Amino acid sequence: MPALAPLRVVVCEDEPLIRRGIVGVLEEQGFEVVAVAGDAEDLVRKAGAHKPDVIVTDIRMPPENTDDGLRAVHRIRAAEPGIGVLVLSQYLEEGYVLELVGDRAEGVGYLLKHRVGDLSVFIDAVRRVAGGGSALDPDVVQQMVSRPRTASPLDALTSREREVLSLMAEGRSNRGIADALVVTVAAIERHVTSIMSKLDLPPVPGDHRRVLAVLRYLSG
Amino acid sequence: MGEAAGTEQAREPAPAAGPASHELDAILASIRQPVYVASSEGVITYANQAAVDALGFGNASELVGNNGHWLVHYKRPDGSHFPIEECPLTRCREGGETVTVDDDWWVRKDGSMVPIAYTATPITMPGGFGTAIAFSDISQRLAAEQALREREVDRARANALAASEARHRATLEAALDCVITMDATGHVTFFNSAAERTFGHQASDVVGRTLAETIVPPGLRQAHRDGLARYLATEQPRVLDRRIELTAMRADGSEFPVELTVTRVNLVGEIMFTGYIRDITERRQAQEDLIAARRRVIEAADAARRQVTRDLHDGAQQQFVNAVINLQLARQASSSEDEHAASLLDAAAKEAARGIVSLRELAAGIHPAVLTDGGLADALSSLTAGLPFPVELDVQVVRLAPSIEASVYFFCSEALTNVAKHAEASAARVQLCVDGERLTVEVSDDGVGGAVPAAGSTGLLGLGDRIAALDGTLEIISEPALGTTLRAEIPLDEASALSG
Repeated sequence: MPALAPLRVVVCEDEPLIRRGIVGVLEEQGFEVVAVAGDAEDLVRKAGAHKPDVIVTDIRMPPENTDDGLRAVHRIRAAEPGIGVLVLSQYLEEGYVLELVGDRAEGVGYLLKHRVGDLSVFIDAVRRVAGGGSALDPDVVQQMVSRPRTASPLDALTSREREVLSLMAEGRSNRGIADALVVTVAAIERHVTSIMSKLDLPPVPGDHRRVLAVLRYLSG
Repeated sequence: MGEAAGTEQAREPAPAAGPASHELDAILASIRQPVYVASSEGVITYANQAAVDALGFGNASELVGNNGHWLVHYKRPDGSHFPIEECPLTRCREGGETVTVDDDWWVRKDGSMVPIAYTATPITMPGGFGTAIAFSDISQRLAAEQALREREVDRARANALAASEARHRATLEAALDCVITMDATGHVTFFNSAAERTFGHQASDVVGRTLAETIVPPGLRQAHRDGLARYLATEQPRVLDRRIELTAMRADGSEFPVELTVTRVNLVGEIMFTGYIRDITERRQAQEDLIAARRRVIEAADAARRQVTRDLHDGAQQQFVNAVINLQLARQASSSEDEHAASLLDAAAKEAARGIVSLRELAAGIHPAVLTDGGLADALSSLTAGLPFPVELDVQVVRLAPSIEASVYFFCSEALTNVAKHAEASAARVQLCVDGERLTVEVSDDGVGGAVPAAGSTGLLGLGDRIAALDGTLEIISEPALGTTLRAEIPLDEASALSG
């Protein structure tokens, strides 16, 4: 491994035990946690001050204990587009995901909170988001893909194509998808072309643009 | 004087009379008392002018020489023959009696009948008794008596009517409901004491004034006048004989809700209306209190659900998350040396993760946080994602008051659960729209239909209660084979529509 500077992280979580756990996992994996915050205002302030590579934050937190975290994230993304944001959520709700992503899937992620315990998924998500990619929770994506629909072009997808579509929506690159399914990148590229054609989606450059297109398709 | 004496006196001067002296003739001619004299055969020998006039003749010669009975006494008022044998005058002529009859009918020259009272006095003549008959036309007296009788009957009737009306009025007066009568021109004709108490008017101040200016609030007066005019013109009733609720006005100008029934009273030749009015302020208040109480109960239950959900998220779920993270940290720390410990830690982490999923689903079922955070659109989207059939969402509202959002959410949830259980539907549709001050929620499916509300679905009953607590209405349209539509309409006030 080349001696790259460690990725800088701000962690925001109002529950001290969990906050300590998240920080522990991140530091164990070589991230530099430059600041921790306990509420939404604190997060906005510390994100502005430290300009980290990525923020890892909860949704429900003071002051209002509703979706304060999401609202803070919107302010930070608007002010500092370069900061990646990974939201840890207790809710398997596509509504939050769509609201979080808005019209820019670049450098944004949404994971169910207990994924913190699933090291490979969690760390991979933090790195992707820090690098400007997207990382959406597999369960949320699964819910969106499998939602019953009347006469949808999705019905025309093969089961392998549906797997590939889900992984695209999670924000993985073709290489990432190929690794996950243990096939070649070329095979994935063929699947992707077929999917985009069946869903009548124009080819888009960049993984995060592809995420946005697929999300819009699935939620429309 | 006794009759015997009269007969005696009458008998005395008669022979002296003989042919009437000029003096006597002049006296008889001058008096206004009709008199005629007949022979023992009943032939008229003399009639004075008053007698001629009373019987409608031109002069005495038309009478004299004729048999009195056959000339003026031959028929009864009903037109039947009057036999001479039955005539009381026969008693005078043959028996020498003085005869007085008060209620006879004689015939005038033109054949018409005239009521007569007479006294016949016998006159001793050669071969029997002649008769001197003094008589009077009693038509005027009879008419006067008749008029008197009629007046008495009228008075008796009027007294009876007055007594009946007094009883009637006393009944209305004592009624607990307000009773007000109004004539066709809209003027008050009666105002009972309940009305006095309710409206704060004295009957004497109100009777004679128009109903519109006394108890109808200004905003309703034109409608009242128009309605009365329209009814009088068309006779097509709109408010008659049914119970309606509207607003009335007290003497002090304050307005209050009343229940009104108007009936038309048919008096001879005039139209009257009677209104029975009941002050329903208390009943209305009780209804509103009931609705408010129901709403409070449901809101309290919703708040409790929200709290339980929050506690699950902030408590148990956080603790599980914490356990999962710590198990992961322990797994990293234990590393490769102890495979048995590592596999136990992995199993524990998986178990805890499943517990998190269960808690999340439990919390979402109790009161989804996304409803509080994102409103109905997000919550319904999440709700329908887990159903086994596609649901088209058409949600044209942004945010509403929490109590309404919760009720609408659970309404849709229960309705869609019913679709999943019973409808055999291939698709469903949820539509929410705000039209003015009214929210309409419609859940429809393409299933078998024929849902019967009374089929014992406590879920449906609960839905009705929730909607009723919001002062809304619930309608179920479920034709067999045409699917089922549940439609709730909920009034929105300014506070309930936060936006959208």
